[in-house]
Amino acid sequence: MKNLSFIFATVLFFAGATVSNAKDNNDTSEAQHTVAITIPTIALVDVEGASGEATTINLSPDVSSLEAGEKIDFTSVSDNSLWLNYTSIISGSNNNGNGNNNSNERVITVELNDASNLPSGVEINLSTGAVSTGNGNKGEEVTGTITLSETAQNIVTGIGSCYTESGYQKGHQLTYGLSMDDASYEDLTADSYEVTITYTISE
Amino acid sequence: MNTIKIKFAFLSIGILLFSNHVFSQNDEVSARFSLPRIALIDIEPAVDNSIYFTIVPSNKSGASPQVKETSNKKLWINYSSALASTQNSRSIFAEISEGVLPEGISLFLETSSFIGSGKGNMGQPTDKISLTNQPKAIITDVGNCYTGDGINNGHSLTFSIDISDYSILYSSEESTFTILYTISDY
Repeated sequence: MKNLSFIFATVLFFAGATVSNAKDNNDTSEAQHTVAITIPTIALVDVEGASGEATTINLSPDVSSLEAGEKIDFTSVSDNSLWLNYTSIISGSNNNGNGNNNSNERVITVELNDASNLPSGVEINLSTGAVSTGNGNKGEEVTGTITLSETAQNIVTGIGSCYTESGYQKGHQLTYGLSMDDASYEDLTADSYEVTITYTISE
Repeated sequence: MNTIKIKFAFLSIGILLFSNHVFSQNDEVSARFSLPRIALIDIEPAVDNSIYFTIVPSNKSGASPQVKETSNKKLWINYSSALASTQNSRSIFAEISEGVLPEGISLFLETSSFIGSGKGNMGQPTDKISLTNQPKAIITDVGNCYTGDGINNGHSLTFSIDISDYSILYSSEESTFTILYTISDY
C-alpha cells in the first residue's frame, strides 16, 4: 500500500511538472488574436439651462409700460434660455449607404402634458434654432414657430447617429413665446399657470 | 589467464593515451557550429486573448458616447530573432486580417518599449498606429534577440478605439475581427 502511494505521488509529480512546463511550441513568424466591438442603440434627450437641467421658465407679459386702454402684449414674451441636447446611435439596417433617409432615423417631438392648465385663449409657441455643436447626423430642425398642444409635434427630424454635446448653449436653442386670442380676452384672469412640456426622441 | 590479458590490454591503451597527451605540442580540432535564421513571434497570453470593446452612452444626454474596453486585458508580443550576417534587422507588422471594422470606428494599437527577461538587440516601437487591412510596422530594428516568453515579456499592446465619424456609425451586435502580426525581413 505504501509502495502504491509512492507510485501515485511520483506519477502526479511528473504530471505536474509537465503541465507547468507546457509550451505551445507552435510559434511561427505569424501570430494573431481577435478584437470584438459591440455598438448598442442609444436615444437620449435632455433640456438644459445655464444652471443645469431645466426646471421651470417663467413667461410673463411685461405690463410695466402699459397705457390704459391697451391690450396686454403677449407677443413681447420671449424666453430663449433653454437648449435641447441629444445623443443617438441608430441601427444600420435599411441603411442606404450614405447615412441619409435611413428608416431608423429618429425624430424629437414636443407636447404639452396639461394644456387645460393654460388660461383660455393663451398659447405657448416654440421655435427651434439650428445646431452648431456636436458631431454626426444631427438631423434638421423644423423651421418656424409651432404652437404647442397635447398632440406631439416634430421639432427635429432625420436624426441619425450623433451627439449635440451636453449643457447650456449646446444643441438646439429653444425659444418660447406666448400668444393670445383676443376673442378669449373676456376669460383672462390674473393667476399663475403651470404646464409641463415634454420632449421625446423616438426609439 | 584471461583476467591478466584484459588488464594488460587496458594498461596498453592507457599508456597510448598518456603518451599522446604528453608528447603532442599542438593539436587542432575542427568544430562547426551552425545557427539557423530564426524569426518567431507569439502573442501572450496564448489563450483567451480576445479584446472586447463596447460603446456605452454617457450619463448626460448630448454627450459623446463613451468607448469602453470590457475585456480589461493586456496582451504581450514575444519574439525571437536570429539574423543572417548580411541582414540588418527585421520589423514586426500588424494588420486586420479577417473581418471589417464597423463603419465610423477607428482601431488604434500602441506598442510599448521592451521590458522583460530577454536579451539582445530588441526592436523599437513605432508611434500609435491605426489598424487597417494593410500591414503597418509596430516594431522596427529587431536584431539578434529574444524577449522572454509569456506575459510581462516583450512589448505590451494597448488597443483603443475612436468614433471617427458619427454620421455613419450604426448599432450592431458584436463584430469580430482578427489582428495578424508578422515578423518579416523587411
